[in-house]
Amino acid sequence: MMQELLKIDWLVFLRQTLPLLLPLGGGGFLLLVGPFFKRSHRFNFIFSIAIALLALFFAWQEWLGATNQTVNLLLFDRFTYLFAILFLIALILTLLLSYSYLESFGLVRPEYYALLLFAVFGMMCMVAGHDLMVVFLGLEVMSVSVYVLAGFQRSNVLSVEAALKYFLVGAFASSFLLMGIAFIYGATGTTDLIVLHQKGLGMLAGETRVYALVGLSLLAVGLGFKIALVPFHFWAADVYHGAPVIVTTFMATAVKAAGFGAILRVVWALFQWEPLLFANMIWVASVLTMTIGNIAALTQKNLKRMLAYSSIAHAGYAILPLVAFSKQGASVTSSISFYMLAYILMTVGAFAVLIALSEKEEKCTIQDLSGLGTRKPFLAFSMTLFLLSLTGIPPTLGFFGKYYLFLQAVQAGYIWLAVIGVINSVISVYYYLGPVVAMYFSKETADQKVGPTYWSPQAVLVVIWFTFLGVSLFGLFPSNLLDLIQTSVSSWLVAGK
Amino acid sequence: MLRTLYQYIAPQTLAWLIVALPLAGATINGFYSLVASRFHKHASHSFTSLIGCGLPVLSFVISLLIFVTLIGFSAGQDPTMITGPLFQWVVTGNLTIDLGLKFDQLSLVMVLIVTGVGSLIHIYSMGYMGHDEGYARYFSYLNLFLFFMLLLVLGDSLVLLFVGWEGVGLCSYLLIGFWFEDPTKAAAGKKAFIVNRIGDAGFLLGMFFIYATLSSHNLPPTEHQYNFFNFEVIKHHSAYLMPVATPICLLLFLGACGKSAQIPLYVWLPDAMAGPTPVSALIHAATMVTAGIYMIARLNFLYVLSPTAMQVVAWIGAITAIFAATIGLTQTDIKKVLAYSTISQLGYMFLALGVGAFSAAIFHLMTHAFFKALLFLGAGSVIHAMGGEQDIRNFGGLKEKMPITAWTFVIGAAAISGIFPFAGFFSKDAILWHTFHGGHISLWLIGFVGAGLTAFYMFRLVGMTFFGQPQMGRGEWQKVHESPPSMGFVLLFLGVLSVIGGWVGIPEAFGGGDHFHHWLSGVFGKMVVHEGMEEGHAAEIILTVVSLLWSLHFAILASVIYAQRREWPTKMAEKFQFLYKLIFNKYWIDELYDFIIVRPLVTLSEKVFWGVIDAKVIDQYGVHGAGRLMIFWNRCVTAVQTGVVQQYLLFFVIGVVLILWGFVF
Amino acid sequence: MMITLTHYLILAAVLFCIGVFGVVVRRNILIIFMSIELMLSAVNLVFLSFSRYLGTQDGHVWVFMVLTVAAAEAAVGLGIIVALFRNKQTIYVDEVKELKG
Repeated sequence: MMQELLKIDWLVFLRQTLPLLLPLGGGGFLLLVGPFFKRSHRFNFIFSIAIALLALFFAWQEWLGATNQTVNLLLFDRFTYLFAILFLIALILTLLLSYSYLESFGLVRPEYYALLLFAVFGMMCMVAGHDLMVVFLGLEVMSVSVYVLAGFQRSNVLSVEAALKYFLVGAFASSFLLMGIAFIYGATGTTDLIVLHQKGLGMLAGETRVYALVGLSLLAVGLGFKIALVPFHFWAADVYHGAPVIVTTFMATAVKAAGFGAILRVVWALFQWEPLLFANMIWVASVLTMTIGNIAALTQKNLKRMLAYSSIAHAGYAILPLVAFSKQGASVTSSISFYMLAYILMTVGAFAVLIALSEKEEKCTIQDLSGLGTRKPFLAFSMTLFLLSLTGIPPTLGFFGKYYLFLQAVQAGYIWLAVIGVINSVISVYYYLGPVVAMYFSKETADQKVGPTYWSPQAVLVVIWFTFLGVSLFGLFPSNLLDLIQTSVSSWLVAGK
Repeated sequence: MLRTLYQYIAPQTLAWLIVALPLAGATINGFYSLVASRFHKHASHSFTSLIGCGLPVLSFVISLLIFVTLIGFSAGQDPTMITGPLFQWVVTGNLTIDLGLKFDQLSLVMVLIVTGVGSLIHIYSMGYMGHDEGYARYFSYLNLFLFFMLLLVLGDSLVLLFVGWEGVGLCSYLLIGFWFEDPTKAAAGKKAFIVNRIGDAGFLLGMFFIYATLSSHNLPPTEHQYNFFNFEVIKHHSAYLMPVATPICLLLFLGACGKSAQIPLYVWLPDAMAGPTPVSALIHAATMVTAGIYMIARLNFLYVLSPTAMQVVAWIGAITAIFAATIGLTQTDIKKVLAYSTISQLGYMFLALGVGAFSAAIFHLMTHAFFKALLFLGAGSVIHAMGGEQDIRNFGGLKEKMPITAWTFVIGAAAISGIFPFAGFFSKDAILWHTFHGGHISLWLIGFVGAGLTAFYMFRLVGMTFFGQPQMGRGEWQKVHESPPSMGFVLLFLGVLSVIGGWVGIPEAFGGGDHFHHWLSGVFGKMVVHEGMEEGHAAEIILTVVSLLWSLHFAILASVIYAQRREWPTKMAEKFQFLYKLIFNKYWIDELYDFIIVRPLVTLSEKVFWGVIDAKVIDQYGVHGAGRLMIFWNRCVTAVQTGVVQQYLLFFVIGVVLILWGFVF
Repeated sequence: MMITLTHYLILAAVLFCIGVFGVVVRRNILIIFMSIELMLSAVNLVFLSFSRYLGTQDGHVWVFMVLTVAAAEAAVGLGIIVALFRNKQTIYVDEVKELKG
């Protein structure tokens, strides 16, 4: 053991882990030192943005020079850094959205930034870990931070209720996940993902086989909870609805992407043991999740809640290509990663528009949007774009993402599954169109006319512009992005073999 | 001259300009209107008009240049120009999508129609929308529409076609709801969008099917390898698609039904009339709704592989044609009449496609673009003059006040009714003749009856609007005025086109050259169009004359009944003395007609087709029924979401048990 | 009688199920909370018995990790309960149901 530790080039290791260490150290620093600065809120904000940018830079550097190295319990390949970049982008966008929101809602406390940074550290561990326990620990670091964030508006009953529900279901699910890991460990004697990948179920017989299967199913439960698959989805709508909208943004994007990153790793390592069974489970879960998510979203009046159900439906779309994982793992993985990026951009964009409207109180109902087309043409137009992209209408990024997902199913012979997916997209048109109709076709109510508020703070506008350009430009020219993601994936799945 | 031009600018670049100019117009006007509204200033109308109309006209001129260039090719050559990929849009392991334009005879006809009629309608809009606040925004949308429409007809792959397809839908949605204060208009926009998405789902699935089939074969390597959506590639490998041609064609046809308003997805088009009238003329008559026709004509090599799909297309088309014509008989909103007539005419085009007469369909598409745009713009002119009134029962005698509108409208009506020598005569006749000649007698009969109905309801419209006694108050009558010159000019221009537009396709039986069919034969192949035509000349002439008389007689009948037989000019009476006396003097014939034909038809139309099938079956059970089902499930799903966290956990545990059971046992 | 691996696993399973049952049926948040701790303890038992059975040390290490995580969760959970009590003056979980539908 000592021998092994000495063999590591610690300087290289430090460089490789910098994207992880920076958020961790930054968060700790903020908790310890942040409150002592004058005008501490602005300092905290700038400091965390700087940390995130720095981490982004190093992640990009490491992506360029990644070597598929495993050091102790962490795996440093391009896939890790790709997801690290995704998380950091989501983090930066969330930070930009948060500053003015926290000020106007009287929530200025340095913990907020620290918790966001810790959560991102946890996410990176989830994707970088090549040991089930590291994945679990990362997941816990992330979850515990997000439990607190969900209840960050302590005086608001809804926020606290959201935190409580998230916490109870989350802790409950964690114990299942942990039990799953314990059984996998019992069946195989290891928790190392790479070893597990090489092992396969064929070697196991009798009792160990049963242990392994119990472990697999409990693991599936724990991870399915994290991305809100049916029937583990109930928490999502309530939690997204109750939490402050900036936190909802973070949960709907970064946390979900982290869940998918971890799932891809685990699926690669474990679920190929039983490809047929796994594919069956996936399609059932996928169909149920997207259908129930879409149907539940139909009559929602609150956009936060509507987007929560829509995010459930999107998780259903996103796991759909996993049915083909054993046949075409690399392209399945890259399609899901691509979709995560697309989903982050369009969802952050949609929430950013809502945040731009919420000055003293959250304005998230469809009625609050009425007449926005004349009041604020740009906000209305970009909201329309994001909603169209979520629906999957070309030439937006969302269309490409979805198309690429369904293509995987079609290639693997699951045409009917793609058909169900497309039918679901048609259903989703109905509720995505509601806000658009409200913005362009209904008159603003009397109290909206009273003060021509030019609130929309600069940072929020920056986010809207960024996501707007991302969704439209990458929708028109997705090629380079796709290349980038495919390279990241192939360094793990193809070169790793 | 062209040669010198091409020394400076390559034809390919010019071709791209056709598409790019409207986009530039949309961008400039869009930004301009945004900037203007930000500073609370009125956008300058002259600047907006210059950009908004000038660029489409320019792109029409370029299309003409390219048309002349391609005509210059010698006879043996296939005049096709492909601009080649501008760039590779998507490159993945086993799929490539290039972005390129394809000019062949078919797309050139479409481009000329789109830019030509499009430019005219832009010019007309200058007058029609002159008083509107959102002038710049309106032109920006209109230009954007033109851009997407051009992309649709020029794209060299299904994907590009689909992008254009979605884009025109989006613009149509924006323009229907242009005057957005009105909730019914908002609902109309929403309905159009949702119905179209149902069609689009079919279209997408058809594309998936093509991809899945082609990618499952190990195709011989070509330069287009993996470019599965390119038309050339699909055509080249169409043999592989043979076994699945029927599902693919039917799925794509579902998309066409949505976009081109065929049964059962036509419900959105009458509602879409809520938008400004020039928009109805451009989008819902001349161009966008014909996208489905274009798509099937473009994929003709696929459709001929599946006789079943062709049958379905023909029958849906024929039934829609007569169904919508019957509803048109009793509508009282001037634009609704025209909307149903559009649906009916589109049905004719699908009928032609279904019996394999692709070039006849495109021919009718072209003449229809002329006369239907004319009719809509005429209707717009009337609505404009009447200050927004659309109920034809309140019109009457308008020809006194607005002669240009009235007489051009009569030309349009004559053209759509298929009266010699107007444009519609030749194209409709081509469709009916091909149907008859192909042995589809029952389809022909439906089309034939439908043609009579068309003449009837169109001249009913003419009679009630322009002839007879004014049905409005004296004050309103005073205010009626002819439209401004920019509108009048466009009406005259389209009127001329509606007369001579059909002459390019005079069939050989009448001593014409049938140029239109020859021009398109490069795309559709000769066999379908010209097989055994020579010996059928006599039969063709007889049929044509019969159907001409049939339509003419209905046209006169309607005019006589609905113009109250009073204002009918004596000159016309002398010319058609025989018919006139027959109908006018022998009053009992009217009565008889009224009793035997008109009354039952009206009842059928009002009570059965419109009242029951349209409103009840399709609207209630089809559209709303699906909606209600969804709402029911929504209630069920949200009822489970009670807010009690322990209940969620209970479901969680049930899920765990199910998964454990699935995995372990 | 020999006490085998299976006995330990059955004991752990029973503990775990008691925990699950407690979480689903008890109304008091604190008791729900303790039930979750019970579930985690059951996991620890599984880890330890497997570790002993396989003769590897990994499981022992993981137990410490799990304990730490449980402690962190407890801290956050209690904080949330306090915040809830301040807002609603209740610790009965079925009274917290404003978010629904």
